[in-house]
Amino acid sequence: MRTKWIAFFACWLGVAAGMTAQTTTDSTFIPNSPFPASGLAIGAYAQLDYNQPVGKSTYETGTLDAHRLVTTLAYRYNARLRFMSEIEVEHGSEIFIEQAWMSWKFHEALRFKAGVLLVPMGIINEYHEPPTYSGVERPLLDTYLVPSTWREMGAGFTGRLPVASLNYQIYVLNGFASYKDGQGLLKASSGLRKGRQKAIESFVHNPALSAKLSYYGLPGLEWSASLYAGKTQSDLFSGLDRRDAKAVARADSSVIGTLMLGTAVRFKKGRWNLRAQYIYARLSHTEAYNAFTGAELGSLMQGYYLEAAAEFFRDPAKGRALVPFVRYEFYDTNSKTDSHNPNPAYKRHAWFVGAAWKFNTGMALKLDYRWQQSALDSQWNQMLNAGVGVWF
Amino acid sequence: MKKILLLTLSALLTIAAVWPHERQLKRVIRKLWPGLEVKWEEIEHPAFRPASLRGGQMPATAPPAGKQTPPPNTLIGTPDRLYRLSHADTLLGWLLIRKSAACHLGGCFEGGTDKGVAYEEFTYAVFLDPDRRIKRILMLEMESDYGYQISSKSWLRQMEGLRGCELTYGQQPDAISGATISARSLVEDLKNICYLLE
Repeated sequence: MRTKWIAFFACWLGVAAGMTAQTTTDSTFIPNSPFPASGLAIGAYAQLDYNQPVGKSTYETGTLDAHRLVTTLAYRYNARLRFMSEIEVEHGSEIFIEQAWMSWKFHEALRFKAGVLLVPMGIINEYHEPPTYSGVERPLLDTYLVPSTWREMGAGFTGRLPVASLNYQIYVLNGFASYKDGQGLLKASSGLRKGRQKAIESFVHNPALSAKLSYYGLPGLEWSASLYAGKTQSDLFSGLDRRDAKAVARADSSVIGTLMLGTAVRFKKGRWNLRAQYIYARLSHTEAYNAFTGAELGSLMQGYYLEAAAEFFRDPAKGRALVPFVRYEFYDTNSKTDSHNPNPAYKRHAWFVGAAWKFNTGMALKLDYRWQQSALDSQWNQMLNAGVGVWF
Repeated sequence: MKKILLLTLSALLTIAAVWPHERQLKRVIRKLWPGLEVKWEEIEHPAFRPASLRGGQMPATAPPAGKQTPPPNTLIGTPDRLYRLSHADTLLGWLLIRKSAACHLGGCFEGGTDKGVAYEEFTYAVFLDPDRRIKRILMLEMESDYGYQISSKSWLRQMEGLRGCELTYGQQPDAISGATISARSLVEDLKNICYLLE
């Protein structure tokens, strides 16, 4: 069985090497580069927020937050080899690595990528520069169900098939941590968010598979389908004696299985900009996990959003426009449960209405109003948001 | 699950392996001029880099050493491949294969290639008919992770039948969000080709 895999990989390496050779001979047909081979690129994006809850009978304090300031540091060694990194300062004081990967291009249809990678799930996790989305904050779906910015270390392949207008990505990455330092990390209120390891001395014993296919063949339309599958990690397994059945059973109950499927569509035509996204996340072994950690994890989390935005006073060449938008979101982290009755506090939905003034593709001033409610609330929780979105 | 994915990957590799650029271009030629035996002839044109300077030599108008970013859309002095396509003695059109610079490493947004920022290249082929109308545009190589939407056939088709000089980004062809720089770079390029070939 193992020899079969080795033979398979040997064949594959042979094909990859052959293809690289072929593209090199092909390059007598492709013109030489007129440009010098290397290049350092520095850029940034930033999201600065003012969030003001609005209470009818209570005083409410607002928050002014330098939510994100991310610097891009990238280097193009040559046409095939590059390194890209993003270093983030969140809430003015926490420093994280958001991306840090190298990529080697064998061929248009095959690039190898390794490092801290963005998990290709949904629209926002990959395309999260503030002037590119509507609303001061990222959608709630991309905060609670897709724990944006979701990034882990791993390696894989990505490529383009222009003949079919398809892009694909497939990676093996680190998975979520579900138990660490005597505590369960996953909860129904935040979904998988607290399980992100973000390449901060992350530990692994169950790598996960992540894949995405996106289609851009029809004018203005981009449709994508993503998959993420893997079990979570628990530090109870570190140094655990395989023969100790009781301890192994205990460690097993601190781990769950995750299977997330997502589909998203972006449609842009004339002044209209429409987005829709649906996320389906199946969690397995939640009964044992909830009993062990006291959480209320559902066995199914799902959610979706629908958004419409329109551009007025626009200059398409520069990207200048006034863009009002409206979005409806629904997300439920207790859509199905194995160990308890679904808690209505986790069945939430929200409406957003707002607008952005975009100076160009890299600078936007935003204002929006949010009505959010769980199945337990009798009234809408309202919030006014204003912010600056930057990208260069 | 893993087996299926590995099989898909090897299928993709195979497809990619049998699709070298020359074959791709010949296939397009067969589609554009069906049934004709087309002769390719590499030619030199004063607007483009002479054939004799190919093979690693920098063009005469290369930027001075140390300066990282030449203007990306100057045709003069840039290495290109220009082919005259003919059948018997009739001129069918031209094929121009060109590199253009676009999309900054970090993504496609304002900042441009003229502000000392690293850029990435893409290589494309444009088929022109005897009166310089665009017959077909093909993306051959794109380094960038961003801006891939310009390889969408339906977008490229919007420019067919027009001359490069008649293009206006935003109207003909439509604007593309997420690929603004690459798209504008391509449209600028096609415009320059049109003016220079007049």
